[in-house]
Amino acid sequence: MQQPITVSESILGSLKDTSPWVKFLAIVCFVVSAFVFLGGVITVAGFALGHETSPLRAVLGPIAGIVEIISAAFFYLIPGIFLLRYGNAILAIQATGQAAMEDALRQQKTLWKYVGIFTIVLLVCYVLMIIGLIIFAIIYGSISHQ
Amino acid sequence: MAEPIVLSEQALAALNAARPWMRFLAIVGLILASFAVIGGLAVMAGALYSPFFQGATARFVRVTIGALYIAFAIFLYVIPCLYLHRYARAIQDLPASGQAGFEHALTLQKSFWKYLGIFTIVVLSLYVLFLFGFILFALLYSAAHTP
Repeated sequence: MQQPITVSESILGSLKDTSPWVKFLAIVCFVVSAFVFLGGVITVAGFALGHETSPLRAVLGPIAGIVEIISAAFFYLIPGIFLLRYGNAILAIQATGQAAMEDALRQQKTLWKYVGIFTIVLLVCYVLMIIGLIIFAIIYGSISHQ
Repeated sequence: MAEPIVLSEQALAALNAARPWMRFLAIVGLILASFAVIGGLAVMAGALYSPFFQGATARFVRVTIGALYIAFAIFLYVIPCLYLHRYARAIQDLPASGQAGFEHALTLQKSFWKYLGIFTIVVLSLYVLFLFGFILFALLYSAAHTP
């Protein structure tokens, strides 16, 4: 029967070395999230308070701002939270033991699954946007050439 | 004495569940990197061969921007994705690779996060330096051109 793999001292050392970098990246994610959120708020406020003559820009401007706010939340804040939870869970292993080890690896799985899923969503959105733009260009081009 | 911590079934299952997502992200990252490299090469080729750019300075600036873009793509995408892919491969070898395999996997993981962390610090420092340089340039320029 195969010997179970134990978490040796060197493994614990590796994990403890991983944690500060993970937590640092989590903080960077939070800071970037705050900036992107602020940028989105300023964009929406600017369009609300300013005087926008073009009707197309008046619609697309606030939408761009709202997209920024949403992306701040989904692309930066939530991964940041997962990173922080993972970083903390790693540190808990030495103190708490077996359950903490499983918890840390579960947090890691959640992190990668989340980033993987939103990457798929993002790629699908890009493809849809490109297709939409091509269709828009074809329709616009055929209309204006009448 | 504290009970030794073991790589249990649940722990191994969590690692194996994360693995396909890691490989997916590594592959997507490498594909994006190849787009960026092609884009950078296109910018550089355009700068060198297009008749649009007059003068050596404009060409040089464009070529440099293209080269920087490629370098950035390599450091931000290719290297972390290779680390990630190696980590995913090491997880796949568990539990057959045993104790040493698990240690190896976790060392690779640490390398991945450490690389991203150091890269982020370097980029942030460059931003700060660039900001200072820009402010300095603006001050000197306005001082030199004040009548």
